[in-house]
Amino acid sequence: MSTATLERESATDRDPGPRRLLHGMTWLVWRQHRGALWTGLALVAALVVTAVLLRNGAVAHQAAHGITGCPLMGGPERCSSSLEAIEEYRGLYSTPLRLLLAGILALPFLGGLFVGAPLIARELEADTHRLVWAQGITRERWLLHKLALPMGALMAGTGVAAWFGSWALEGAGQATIGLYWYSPTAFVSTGPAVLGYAALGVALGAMAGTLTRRTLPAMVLTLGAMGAVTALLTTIRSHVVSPVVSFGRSVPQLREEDWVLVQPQAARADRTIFDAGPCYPADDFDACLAEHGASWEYSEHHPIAHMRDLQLAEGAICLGLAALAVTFVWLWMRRRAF
Amino acid sequence: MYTEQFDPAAAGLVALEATGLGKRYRRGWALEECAFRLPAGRICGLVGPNGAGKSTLMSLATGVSGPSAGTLRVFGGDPRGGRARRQVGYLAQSKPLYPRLSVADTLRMGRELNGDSWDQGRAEAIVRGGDIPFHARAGSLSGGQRTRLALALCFGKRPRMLLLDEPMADLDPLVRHEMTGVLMAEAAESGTTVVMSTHTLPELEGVCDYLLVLAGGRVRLAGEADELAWAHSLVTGVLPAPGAASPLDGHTVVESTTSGRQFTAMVRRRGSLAPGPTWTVAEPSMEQLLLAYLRSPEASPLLTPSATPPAPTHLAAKDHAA
Repeated sequence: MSTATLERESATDRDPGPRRLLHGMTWLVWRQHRGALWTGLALVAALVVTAVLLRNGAVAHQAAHGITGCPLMGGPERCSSSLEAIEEYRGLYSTPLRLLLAGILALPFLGGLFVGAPLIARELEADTHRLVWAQGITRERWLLHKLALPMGALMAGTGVAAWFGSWALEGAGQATIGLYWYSPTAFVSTGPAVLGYAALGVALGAMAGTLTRRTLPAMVLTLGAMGAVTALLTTIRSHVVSPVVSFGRSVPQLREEDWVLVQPQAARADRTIFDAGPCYPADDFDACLAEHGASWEYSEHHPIAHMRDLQLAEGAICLGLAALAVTFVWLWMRRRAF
Repeated sequence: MYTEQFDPAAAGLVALEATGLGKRYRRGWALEECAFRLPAGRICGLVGPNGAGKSTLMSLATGVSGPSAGTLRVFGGDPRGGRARRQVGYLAQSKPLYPRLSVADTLRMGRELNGDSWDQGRAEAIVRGGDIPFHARAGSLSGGQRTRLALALCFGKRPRMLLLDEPMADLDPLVRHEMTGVLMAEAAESGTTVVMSTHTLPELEGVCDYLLVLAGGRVRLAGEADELAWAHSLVTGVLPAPGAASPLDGHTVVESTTSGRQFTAMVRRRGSLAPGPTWTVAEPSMEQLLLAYLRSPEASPLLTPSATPPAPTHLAAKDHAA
């Protein structure tokens, strides 16, 4: 045997890559998405590094100025005397922190756009679904790998980023920095809801691909659908878990981090809110209220203890929607001939 | 006859067997009442005009879709089953390949997705036969190279039956000749049954030894190419005077054209048909035969004995008895 023959026979054994680790559909999915995978990993790494730097900087800054745990208003003596320091701290750290959390929130969107949407659309565009369906694996197996692997990777990546985002926000101090867990920027990107959004991004992308059969329209559709779902969930999120309703003779104790949905205000005995406008000119405000039978206080809020429940509930809604989209893609594949 | 004791379909000698096969889409029946048999080891041309049901039959044979009526069996089994999926190779007309995968990675995909049945050496040999560099991207290959790589993927799978949808349609004559050579050599070496659809008839001559002709969703002709040609005669000449004996009497006329007193007729012989004083008799070419059947949808279908599935649907066999 000459060396030339040996070399020829091993033509495809020389290709690099973790052969033993990846095989079958896992290999093909990795091979098709490795560019996206490296990009995604780089993005997550950048977000994690930013989170670590921000938290460390914020913690050190607060300690140096003695404003750790200080709200802007209504804090103890040491806080109310350092109002300017808090303002300065907010000026320095608020915007970077918001950008960080927005970046984490963008991950499910980017994943849906650049991984989810081309998932099916690009196969249909290049006719390659016929190529892969003619191989020895079942279509069910094909779709399972195609959906589950990118979905799992995106969920893992955004999960890690969100954990660091939450850690950074905790270090920055919600009340001190003036960015609370219930704000639209922070709610998804600092909690488990982001996992649901990540799954939904890929699922909606795949579904858009089956509908449009073209990559670019599928991306547009995915972006629109994700935007619509996010807007809708942002609107309804405070009602997903019942808020704490306070009704009594006195104003309830609300903490700085509580998400107040209905500010404590005068109410009648039947829990209807009383418009206190006419009473403002009165000499004795309380007596005026009592005159109108509105000597009760009514408020609705989510204490910070509700945070995880709310985030988990929203994540579950997203996962449910993702499951619907996946079912749609599944049925489409079962019905689709060559 | 030993057919009473021996069922060729059960013994794996029948690659495809359709009985009462029908497929209905929203626009109507794409295939209707199809019954035929394709013995294993043949290179079969699947012929018909556009919309005849060729693609539908292929998609049924690959198990990608199921029939609306009747059955189609691949080596005696359901084409949608796992065994059939490993036994059947399919090449779509567009010869799809992942454009960003290198040739080596494309072959690796074949290996990864076909498991133990994959024959890397054979696939590589086909690629090497065309001097295609392994590091080249599939998207950068020429039409001929694409076809060769796609065929390498097909044969690497070691299928018992290979379905090719218009495999030569987009190739120039030189490349077409080369690819036909590859296809014939590989099929002969491995004993793979090949079904290739086409609507360019000259492609078939010298390639296919079996024919399955579809028109309007029904089978028109099925059987060995030479037997089908042999069963017919092309009669040309001058029509005899009215009342005199016509050479076509007693034979089944598939198609006839007259201009003035001159006539040309494709006939299915019953008994002998000798040349006469004013007409000549010749064996038709495959192309002439196919054209005659494709142009005359009302002519009764013809299936040779090997293409006739067992009861209940083989009226055509009696027709052929002569």
